[in-house]
Amino acid sequence: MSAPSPPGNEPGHDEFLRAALRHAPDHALTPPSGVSQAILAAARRVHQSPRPAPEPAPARPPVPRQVPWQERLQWLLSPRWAGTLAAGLVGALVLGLWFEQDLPGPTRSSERETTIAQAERSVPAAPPAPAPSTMSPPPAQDTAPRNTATPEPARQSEPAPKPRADAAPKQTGKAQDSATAAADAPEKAEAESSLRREVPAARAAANEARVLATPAPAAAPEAPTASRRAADAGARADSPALFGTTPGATAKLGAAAPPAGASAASPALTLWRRSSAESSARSAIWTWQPGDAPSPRSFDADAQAWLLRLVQSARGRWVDVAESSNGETATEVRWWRDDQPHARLRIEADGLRWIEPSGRIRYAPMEPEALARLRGF
Amino acid sequence: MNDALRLPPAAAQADDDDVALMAAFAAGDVQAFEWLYQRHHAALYRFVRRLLGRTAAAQADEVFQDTWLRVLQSKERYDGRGAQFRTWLFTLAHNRAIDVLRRSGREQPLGDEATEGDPFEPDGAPWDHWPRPDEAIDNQVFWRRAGARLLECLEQLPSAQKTAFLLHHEDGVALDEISRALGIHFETAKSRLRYAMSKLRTCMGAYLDATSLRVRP
Repeated sequence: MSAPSPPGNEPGHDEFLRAALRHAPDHALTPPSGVSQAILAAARRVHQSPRPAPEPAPARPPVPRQVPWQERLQWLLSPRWAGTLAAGLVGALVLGLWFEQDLPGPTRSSERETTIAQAERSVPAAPPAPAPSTMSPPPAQDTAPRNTATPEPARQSEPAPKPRADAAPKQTGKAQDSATAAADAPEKAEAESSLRREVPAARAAANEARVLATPAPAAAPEAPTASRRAADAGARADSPALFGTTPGATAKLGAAAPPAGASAASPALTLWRRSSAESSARSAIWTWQPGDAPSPRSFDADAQAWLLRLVQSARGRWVDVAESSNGETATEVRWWRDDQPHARLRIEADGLRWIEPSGRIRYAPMEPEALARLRGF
Repeated sequence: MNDALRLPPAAAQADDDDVALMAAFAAGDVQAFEWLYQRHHAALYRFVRRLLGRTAAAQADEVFQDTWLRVLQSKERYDGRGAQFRTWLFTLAHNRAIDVLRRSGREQPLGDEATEGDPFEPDGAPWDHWPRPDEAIDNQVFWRRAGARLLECLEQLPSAQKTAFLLHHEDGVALDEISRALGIHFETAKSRLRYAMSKLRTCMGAYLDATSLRVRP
């Protein structure tokens, strides 16, 4: 073969190889239209929905001179102080409810200092079998001495363990997110109460504030295994508190729970926590593409409510698996965080399959009726 | 590709206008991005598919999409001074593809010493039965088979050599720009390209049956 001689110091183009490249069977290949549309939609979103910039404070008109008590009242009612007072009141309410629930328990502060092993021991491995007519509490409650007259979910008697000291520095960012989310607890509680009417709103707010303050299990993938197990256990124990589930409801929801020791942390709950916190703090933009939606769209309140339903339906059923598909067609849901793929969910014929970019795959067996409900986005 | 896309005006066909289009997009003109996409999407997709090869072809869409999303994220940082838009775009795709190959354990490690230090031992003699270009014009069957074979041969190249060859031969990027974009010495880029061309020629010679494919009677 005689390729053209290279000009100067650079090897020349081999015209024959170039011609072969031009005639290669993949030369007319173009990206799938769905991919192109997603990219162009992302480009439009970049300019259509910019993050709201902090608006400059409008110039205040001069306030006419008033009598001293009026000035003080106005000062107290100013947005800054009113907001601070409201936040303080909400915090006191949450704290009060928490104290009220935990004081009858064995040792509140010592429980929070329990080791990870104790936490794992104290968390129920799986919800009990359904009790059709009785409202008996879950078995885990029997292991802890209780003085309260009404049965409480296991989460209330056994607070989630604190993150280990060695994992704490890695979770600083997440802790801030959780703190931000905890500040939004009243709004979240309002949304939640529409799902679970049987629980008083104040109790739900208190429970959720504690859930959001608990470090998300998937937020520290580099954490030691023991910490991860403890966090997973915390996530399992969080679910009743998140929804303010009564023991009866817990029994109903746990009707088809997997065998003990096989469950994994709920990835949906982790995503819900993170997206809620980051959306509230405007620290990331979350989008999703449910089912046959032509392009990703905002992960708004309705979308989060749907995710909450998923969390509730699949609670305690997630197990780690290796297969990324059952080989059948399925309804797919995708999430993006700041336009980066974050997770993929396959609603299959007999369960849910959660696939993360890291390669971790979890599966939750579900009843067809529950899956059909989830397909209605 | 979205059929509703309008093609860029003739004045925007020049390569220099890529920078202007990026600047317009950064200023809020979404159509400027659509023009950029229309101009480069096919070549970039081809590049990604060839770079990933058959074994990682399933990740081609992901790499392609991530590359463009990275362009969106960098819209205000790109000013055209570092590299031409097309070279920058292909470099982003190359880096992302290498990440994917590394993650899946499919990348053939190829440091400079491995690339340039080891003597290349071809399996067969370089093929010297190419048809003359004037004959080849009418011989579409020959070139289609040669193209298919070349893709097979590309599969055997380490990704670093494959990148150098594809950027140089398919996309016409000069070697000095390849070396700048990939952050390697000029001599390294040149060596990778030479190795790639030599291997491809040998591979083509080992598998193409000249007597059955030649146009010449």
